[in-house]
Amino acid sequence: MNNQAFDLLMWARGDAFDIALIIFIGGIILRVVEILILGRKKDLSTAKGSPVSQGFKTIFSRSFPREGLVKFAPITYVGGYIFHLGFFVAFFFFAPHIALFQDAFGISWPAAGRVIIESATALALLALIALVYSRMTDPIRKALTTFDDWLVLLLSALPLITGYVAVNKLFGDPTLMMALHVLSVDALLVAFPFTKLMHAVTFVLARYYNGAIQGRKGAES
Amino acid sequence: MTATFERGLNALREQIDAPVASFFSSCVSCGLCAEACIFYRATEDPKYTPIKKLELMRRVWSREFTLLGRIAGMVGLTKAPTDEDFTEWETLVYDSCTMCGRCSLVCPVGNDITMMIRKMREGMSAAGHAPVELIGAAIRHTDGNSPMGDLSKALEAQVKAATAETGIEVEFDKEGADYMAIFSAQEIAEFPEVIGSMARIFKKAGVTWTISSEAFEATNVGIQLGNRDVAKVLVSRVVEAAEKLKVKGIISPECGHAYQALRWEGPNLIGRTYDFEVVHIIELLDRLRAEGKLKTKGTDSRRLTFHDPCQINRRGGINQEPRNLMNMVTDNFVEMENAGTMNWCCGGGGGVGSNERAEQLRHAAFKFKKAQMDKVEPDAIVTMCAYCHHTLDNVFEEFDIEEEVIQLTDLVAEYLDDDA
Repeated sequence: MNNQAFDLLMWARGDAFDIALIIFIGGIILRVVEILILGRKKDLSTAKGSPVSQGFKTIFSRSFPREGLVKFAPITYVGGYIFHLGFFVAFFFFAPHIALFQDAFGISWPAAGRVIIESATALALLALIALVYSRMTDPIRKALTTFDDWLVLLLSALPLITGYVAVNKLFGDPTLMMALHVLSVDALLVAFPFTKLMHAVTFVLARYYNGAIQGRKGAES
Repeated sequence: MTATFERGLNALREQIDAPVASFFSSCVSCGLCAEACIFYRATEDPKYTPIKKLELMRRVWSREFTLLGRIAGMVGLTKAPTDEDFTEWETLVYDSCTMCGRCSLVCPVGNDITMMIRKMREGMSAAGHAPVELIGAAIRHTDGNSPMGDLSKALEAQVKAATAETGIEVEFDKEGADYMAIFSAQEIAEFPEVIGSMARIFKKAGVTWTISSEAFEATNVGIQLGNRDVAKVLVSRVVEAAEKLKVKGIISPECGHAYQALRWEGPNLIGRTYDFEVVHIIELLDRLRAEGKLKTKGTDSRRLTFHDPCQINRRGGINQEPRNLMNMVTDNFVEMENAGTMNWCCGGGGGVGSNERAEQLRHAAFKFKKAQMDKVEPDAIVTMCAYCHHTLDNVFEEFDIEEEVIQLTDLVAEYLDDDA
């Protein structure tokens, strides 16, 4: 068993990871090119504000909700923030992850302590549960949810769950758990360009365009 | 598959550009646009979630503009849009959206949903699925001079009346004037006082202006219907008239979509920049105020609030100007909750107001709007769009509400210092 689990782990972080990474990067390039080649017509109206600077500004400013809106969809807003921040912290500030970046790119940064990483992971998972709950019960979210949304939620949850179990040796064979953790990451990478996970890249374009369109008119975005 | 359906699908395809593709790629179905939408909030029916109104366009994008979508389509995993789909989406796109733009400001990934509704209407109208009232208005306006039929005689009479009242002559077709003014059909037919107000203000300010007898109508149903060809014809008329009269600028009237049409879409519709300026009447008045050319005397002491027209503020960028003018002529100005950029729509914009089928929805939206107004208990409401004015007057009448709506230009003119 142990040998098989070890082989699986080696494959998951070896060949499988390499293939997943190629699909991830190639897929993202394909999707972004697919968007950009459509182009957009030059706007001939005389600008009142500054489209370019407001476009860039909106990439950041849209990260914060407009006043008074959070109360109408608290689960979506609060759950959304906690999930994204938790996932980000667990992914980028866990020492073994940083070591992987160090190996691959030769860059590193300070790691967060175990308490922070585990809290971030647990909070991100709780947030995901809340988001699932809202997709099942809230009429707006229920009506909007498609297979893609469930898949994305599952793919985002698996690395968090398997990582938590593997690191804390909660149950099962730790090597097998680690193999499953890496496999879940491989799956996330492969699915990324072809599902709504892609928003993590294209939101930059979308926010820029929105800000630029409004900025030209001297209107808020 | 009919020829019109194919034309609609083609028109829809033509509208898909990089912004649209980036918007659809970014949507995570969070549904936050619903809470920003007056029609969802007024009805709490999830079908009015703004991004859902675009589902048909999203399907076309996904099936034809993405590799995976094309493969899925080829192996039969997704369905091609049908004429029945167009029928189904018609009411969502035309009856339950005033293109007010609130959703575009709350979307966390930055999707300009309103802009996509504008684009989707291009496909809908080309496929023959648009409200009959808008189609009728487009025919009347392209064949004649206004969406209400021939308004030239009415305009002449209103100008004459304004001259008689103010003693100031307003000349038609005067070459070399500073500005050429255009009007919303609603102003000519329902609120003509604005002509006299403008005459008095401009005379005091030393601004010369004229009206073209060939192109005086500012509204552009092509924008609401979603028909670039109609929109282009109507914009061209105004542009050509301004060029013929060699004016320095065109004054866009108190009308929301007219400003959108001429100021922002116009140059793109006719394919060139203007060599004159397009200025909204309120922008111009505020400019004259800042230059010291607009002097007023006294203030209105009633409790007044201001309704921001979506196309002029949220989608047009004119936010502070009306407030400067309000503060100049009133001393009891109260803002509504969400005033300014996030103001709620009157419920009549984007062609919804003339769409009879949408009456119930419009009334639901109005009740929502009314609750917002009631919170500040105003004596009267000031606005800068004749169609918002018309919509509010109509629903006030419908619900037996006695509340006055005032056009900002008229309010400013009322306090004009004739001795300065």
